[in-house]
Amino acid sequence: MAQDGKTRLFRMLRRAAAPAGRLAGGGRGGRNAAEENALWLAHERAGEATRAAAEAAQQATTSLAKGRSASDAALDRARALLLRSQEATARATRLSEVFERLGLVALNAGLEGSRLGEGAGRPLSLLSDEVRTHAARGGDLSRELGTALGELAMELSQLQTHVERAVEAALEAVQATSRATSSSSVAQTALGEIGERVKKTTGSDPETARTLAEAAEHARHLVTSLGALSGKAPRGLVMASLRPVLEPLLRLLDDDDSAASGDGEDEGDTA
Amino acid sequence: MSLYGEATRGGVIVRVGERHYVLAEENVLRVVPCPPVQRVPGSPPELMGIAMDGGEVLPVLALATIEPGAPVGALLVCQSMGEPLGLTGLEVVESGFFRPAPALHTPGAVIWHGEVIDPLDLVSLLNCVQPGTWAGTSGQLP
Repeated sequence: MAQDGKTRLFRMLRRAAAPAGRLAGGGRGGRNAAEENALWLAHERAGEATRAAAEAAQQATTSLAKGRSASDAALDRARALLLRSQEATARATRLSEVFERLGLVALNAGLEGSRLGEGAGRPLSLLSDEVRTHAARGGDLSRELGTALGELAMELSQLQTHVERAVEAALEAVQATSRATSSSSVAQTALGEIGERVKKTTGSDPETARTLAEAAEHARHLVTSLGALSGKAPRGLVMASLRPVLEPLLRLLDDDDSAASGDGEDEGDTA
Repeated sequence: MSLYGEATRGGVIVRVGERHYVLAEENVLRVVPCPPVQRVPGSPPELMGIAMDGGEVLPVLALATIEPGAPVGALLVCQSMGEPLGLTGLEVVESGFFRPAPALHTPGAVIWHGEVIDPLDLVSLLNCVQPGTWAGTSGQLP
């Protein structure tokens, strides 16, 4: 057993010392394990990315819904403000008409004063002038107020238009994020199907592929190290150092060799 | 009496376009917001129509062109030779006492803000709205 183990060990050493290319790359089996591992890693990244996309889309939908609610409230307020400013403009117009009437009353008072003659009518005439002056001033101010309120109504109308556009844009964004959520869900389902089919096709699963890739990488390192030791260290020293570590591996390979010698080269069989 | 010790004249100053006119107080009854004016088919263009004021029907003359849809403004209710007349298309500027213009000016003219203001010829205006005088009468302001 020890002699067999020794023989196998040095057979391994000779293979390690052989020109690079036959084994250094790990052979077809090593490349398959690495490729499978890469495939499963890519599958895992794709799955994580679609989950992240779905979560982001869901958060965006939630935020947009809150924004839509605020925009609707702002739109209602803008409409109410526009209505109030239009009412205020109408009131300013009526106020202007009141001052005009007051001016006419003052004119008539002055006219009546002129009929009373210079002595009795002069005070009434003076009062008429005073009232007309203030009525004219009041009329001018109310017209200015009406103009300002009219401009305010225009600004509010534009504000209403902008808010309406924002609401429409938010609605479109919500629809887009809903489509994104739906697409992410479809992508996750498709990735699940891909995973199942890869499992069936390769006979492996993510954990196994990862473990096999790690094992193949360790084996490559071992062979490289053994190749470096070949001819440099005494054989006895190498054997004494490595036997405890390699004996489980030798047993594994022994079983594999037995199966291979019985059935011929058959790569890909589960160990 | 005015500050100059002369008799003043009561009346109303109106503006028609760029010109001012004076109406004596005995010819002006009142100033009111212009009521709805009903157009009379076949009437001369100077006659804007007829309107009701204080339960009385009176003809309404527009002394200046009023654009369709534009506010009509005030109505000056006047009388001439006992006939009532409504005047619109003008602006009543002031009422009260005014200093008469020197005798060389048109009778009835007054001085207002240093300017001589001629009287408005109500007789001619009234003739515009009298039936039988429409043909060949331009009804233009003096």
